[in-house]
Amino acid sequence: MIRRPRITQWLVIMLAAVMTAAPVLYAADQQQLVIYHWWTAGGERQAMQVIFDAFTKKNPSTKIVDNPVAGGGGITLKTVLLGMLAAKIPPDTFQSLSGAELKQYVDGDYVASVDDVWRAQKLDANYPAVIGKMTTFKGQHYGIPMNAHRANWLFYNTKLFNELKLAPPTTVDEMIAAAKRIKSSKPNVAPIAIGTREKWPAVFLFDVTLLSTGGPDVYEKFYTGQLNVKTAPEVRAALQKFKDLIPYLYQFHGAKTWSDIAGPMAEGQMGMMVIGDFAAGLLVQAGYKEGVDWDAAGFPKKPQEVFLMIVDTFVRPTGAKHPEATTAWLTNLTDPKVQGEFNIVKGSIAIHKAVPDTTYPDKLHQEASRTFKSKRIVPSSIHGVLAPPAFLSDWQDILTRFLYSPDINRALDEISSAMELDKVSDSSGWYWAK
Amino acid sequence: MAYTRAHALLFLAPLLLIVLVMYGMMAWTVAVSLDDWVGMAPVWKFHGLENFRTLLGGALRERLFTSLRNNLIWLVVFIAPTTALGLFLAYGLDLVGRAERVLRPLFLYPIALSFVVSGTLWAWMYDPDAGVINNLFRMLGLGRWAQPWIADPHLATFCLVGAAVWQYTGFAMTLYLAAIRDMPREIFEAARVDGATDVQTFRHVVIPNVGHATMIVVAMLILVTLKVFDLVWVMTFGGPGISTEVLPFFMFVATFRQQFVGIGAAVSVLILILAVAVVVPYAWWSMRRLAA
Amino acid sequence: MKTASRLPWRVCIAGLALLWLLPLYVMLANSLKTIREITQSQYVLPPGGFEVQNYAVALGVLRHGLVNSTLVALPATALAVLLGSGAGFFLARLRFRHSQAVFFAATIATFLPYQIVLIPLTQLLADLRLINTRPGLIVAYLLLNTPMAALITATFFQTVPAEMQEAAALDGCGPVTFYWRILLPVAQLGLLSTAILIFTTIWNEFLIPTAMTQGTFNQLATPVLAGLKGNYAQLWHIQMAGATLTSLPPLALFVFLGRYFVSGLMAGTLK
Repeated sequence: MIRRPRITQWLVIMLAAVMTAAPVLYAADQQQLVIYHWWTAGGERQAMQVIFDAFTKKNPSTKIVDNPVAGGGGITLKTVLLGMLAAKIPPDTFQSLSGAELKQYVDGDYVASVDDVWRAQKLDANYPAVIGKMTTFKGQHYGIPMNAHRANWLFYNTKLFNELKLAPPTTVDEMIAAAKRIKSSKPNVAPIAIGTREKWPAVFLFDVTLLSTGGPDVYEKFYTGQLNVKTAPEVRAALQKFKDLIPYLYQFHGAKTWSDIAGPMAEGQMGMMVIGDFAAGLLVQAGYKEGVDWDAAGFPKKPQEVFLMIVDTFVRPTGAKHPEATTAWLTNLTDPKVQGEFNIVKGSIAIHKAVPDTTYPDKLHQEASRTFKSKRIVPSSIHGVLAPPAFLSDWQDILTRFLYSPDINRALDEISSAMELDKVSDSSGWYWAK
Repeated sequence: MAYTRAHALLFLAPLLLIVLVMYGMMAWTVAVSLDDWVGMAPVWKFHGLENFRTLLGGALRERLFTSLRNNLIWLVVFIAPTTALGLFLAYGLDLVGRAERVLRPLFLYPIALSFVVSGTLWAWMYDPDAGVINNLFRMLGLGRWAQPWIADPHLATFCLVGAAVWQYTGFAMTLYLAAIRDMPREIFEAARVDGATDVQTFRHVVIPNVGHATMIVVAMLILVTLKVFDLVWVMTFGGPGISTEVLPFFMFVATFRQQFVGIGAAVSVLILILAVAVVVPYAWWSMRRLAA
Repeated sequence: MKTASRLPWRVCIAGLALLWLLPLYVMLANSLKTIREITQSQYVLPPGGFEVQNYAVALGVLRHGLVNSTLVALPATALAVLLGSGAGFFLARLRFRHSQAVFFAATIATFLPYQIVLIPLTQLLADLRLINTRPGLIVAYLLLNTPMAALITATFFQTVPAEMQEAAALDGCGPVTFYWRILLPVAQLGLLSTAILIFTTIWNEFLIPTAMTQGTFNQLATPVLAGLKGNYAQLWHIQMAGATLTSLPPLALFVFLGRYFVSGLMAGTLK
C-alpha cells in the first residue's frame, strides 16, 4: 500500500533549493563598480565599451558590473533604480540626465555632491557655464556630464530636396512651405516624417516649433512654468503653428517609432524629420550616406539659432559600496581623450572644451561641436531636463493627442492643469536661481 | 485521519502566511491611496480622499475616464465574441468526430503564449503600411479594406481586443467542450430522433445546458479585462495619445513613471473595487462547491 | 451522428483554424526571412531560404533573459507546488473547522488582479533588499502563485478515493507519511498539471519583472523581448525570431504534455 517516494519528488526539492540558493552565491567580494545605464542599442553599447576600456586601463583591479537597461531615455531604468535607492541599496554609479531629473535624486538625498571631482578637474573652466548650472543644486554639484546631444536637427532627404530645388528650411513657416511643395509635386511622399508610438518624438517637433515662434527665452520660461499658459500668447501661437504642421505629417505616425521611419526618410518615401543627432548613427549604420541620401541642418535658424541640449550625466549615489571606484569612474569621464573617443562612437559631442571640432568624422557632429561652442545653449525639455519627468509624461500624452485632435483651447487647459499637478514651476526654481 | 496542531502548522502555515501577506499588501495599497505620496521612498502624509478627488473630479478626471471607458470596451467587446466563438467552436468540435483531435489544439495554442509575444505578433499584423493584415488585403485586391488599425485612436483599443480574442477563444472553447461532453449523450440522441437540425440542437439542447460553464468563462474573462496591461504596453504604449490606456496601465504610469504613488494606489483601489464585485461571489460559489 | 452533416462543420472549423494559425505562421515564416525579404513586404509568402542567423542574433540579445526566466520560473513553480500541495492536502482531505474560510480567503487572493499589490510588493522586496534580484522575483511569484497551487491541488486531491485514506489510517499512517508517500505519488499527474499551469503563468508574466528588475543579470525574457522592439526597430525578422525563442518552453509543454496543460488550465478556474 505504502509507496516509496518517487525520485522525481526529491529532484524537485533539490532543484528548488539549489536554484534558490545559487543566485545568492553570485555576490563577490572583489573591488567592483556596479553601474546602471540605458545605453543598450548597437552604437551606444559600443560607445560604453570605449569608456569601460579606458576605465579598466586606469583601474585594472576594479571589475565593472554592467547593468544596461533597454528603454529610450531610461524610462524603464528609473523605476527599479528608484526602488533600489529608496531601499538604500544603491549601485556605485548610474546614469541620469542633468537638470530636473537629477534634482529628483538630489531632493531624495539619493546622490552625494561631486564637488571634489568637479574642482579637481577644473570643470568650471572646462565645461560651459550652463552645464554647471544644470548640475548645481543647493550650491553644490551633483553630477558629472560627459556628452551632449543636440535635439534640434532637421534631417532631410537630399535627393528629394535637390530634385525639388528646396533649401533646408530655417523656420517652421519655411518648413511648412517646403512640405507644401513636396506634397503638391510628390503626393506619395509624406512631407514630414515622425513616429509617435513612443510618444516623445512629438515633443522634439513641438520644441523646434516653440523655438521658431517664440525663441529661446520663451522656451525656457515655458518649460519652467514661468508663463501663464492659458493667457500667454506665445504658447497659443506655437500650438497654432504646430497644428499647421499636422496635415503634412506621415499619417500613420502613431504606429511607428522614430527609428522605424528614419529609413523611409532616407529612402525618399518621406521628406524631412525633426529629431536629435542620434538619428545620424542609425542612418549610417543602415547604410545611408550623409550628403548623398540625407543631410541635416540645425533648426530653426531664426529668430536665433541655439544648441538644444540633452546631457548624459553620471552621479555618485549616497552610500555607494565602492566609493573609490565611483570617484575613479567620474574622473575618467572628464578626461578629454576619453570623451572624444566615446562621442565619436556614441554619436554625440564632447562637452570638454579641450576636445577639438575636428575629432568627429562626420559633418553633422563637427557642426554640432562648433555650434556648441559658439551659439547659445538651451537645455532640451526632453526626458525631464527642464520640466520634471512627471510633466514630461503628461506632456507627451497631450501632444500626441493633439496631433490626432488638434483643439488648441483644450490643449492649453490640459497643459495648465498638468503643470499644476506636476508642480512644474515649484520644481524648476533651480533654473532661475543665481 | 488524526492530526495534531504541529501537522496543521507544517502543512497550512506557508499558505496562511502567504495569504496573510497578500491581504496585508492589499490593506497597504488602500492605506497608500489615502496618502499624498510622491516619489519612490515612502511618504506617509495622510490627506483623506484627496487622491480620489483628483481622479474623479480633478486634473486626472479625463484620463481616469478614458481608462474606465476602455476597460468597459474590453468588457463588452472582448467577452461577447470570445464566449460566443468559444461555444460555437466547442459545439462544432463535438460534431466533427475524430478531426477534433487535430483541430482543437489549433485554437488553444495561443493561450500558451505570453502577451508580450502575442502583442509583438499582432503589432505587426496591424501595422498600417508594413503590416500583415493590410498587405493581405492588398494581395487579395481588397485594398480599400485597409485601415490605420493601431495608428487610429478610435480603432486602436478594438485592435488590442482583437488580439485578446484570438488568444482566449480557445480557453472558452475548452471549457465549453468539457461542459458539452459532460452532458448525457441521450439528450443529443433524443434530439436527433426528433429530427432536429444541428442549429436547433444547438439552440434548444446545448445552450440551456452550458449556463454553468458560461458563468466560469465570463468570470474568468472579466478578470482578464481587469488585468490587461501587457498587450497595451507592447502594442501601443497607451497611444495614440492616451486612447488605449486601461486602468492597470494608468496605474503603472502614474506610479512608476510619474511617481505619483498615492494616485497610483488610488487607481489600484478602483481596480480592487471592480474586481471584488466579481471575485467575491465567484470565491463564495467555488467554496460551496468544494464543501458539497 | 450522421456523417454527411459533419462536412460543413469540418470545413467551417478548419477554415477558422487556418485563421487562428495565421499569426503563428507569420511568426515562424518571418523569423526565417532575410532583411531584404522583409523590406520588400513579403510577409505572407513562405521564406525563400532558412535564415537561421536571425535566431543567433535574437539569442544573443535574449540569452540572459531566457536563462533568468528559467532560473526564476522553475524554482518558483517547484516551491509553489510543494507548499501549495501541502495546504491543498489539508484543505481537501482533512476537513477542519475553518477549512472553508481558508479556501475562501485563498480563492480571493488568487483571483484578484495582482496589479493592486504591485506597489506594496515593490516596497516589500526593496525592504528585504531583494529588489532587482532573482530570489526577489521567486519570492514575488511564490506569493502570487502559492494560493493558486493550493486550490488546484486541492481539487485534484479530492478525486483520490477516500478508501485509500482510510486504509492508510488503519495501517497507522500519519498525515505526513500519507501526504508524502501516498497522496503525492497517486496524484502526480494532477501535480504535473498544476506545475505546468504555474510555470507557464510565470514564464509569460511581464508586469513584475518590468517593475522590479533591470539589467542583464536579473531581467527576464518577456521584458527583454518587449525591449527588443525598441532597440531593433524595424527588424521584424529578429523580433519574430525572439518571439519564437521566448515561446518555445510554454509551447513545448503545450505540444508534448497537452493533456496536462489543458487539465491544469481547467483546474485553474476551480470549475
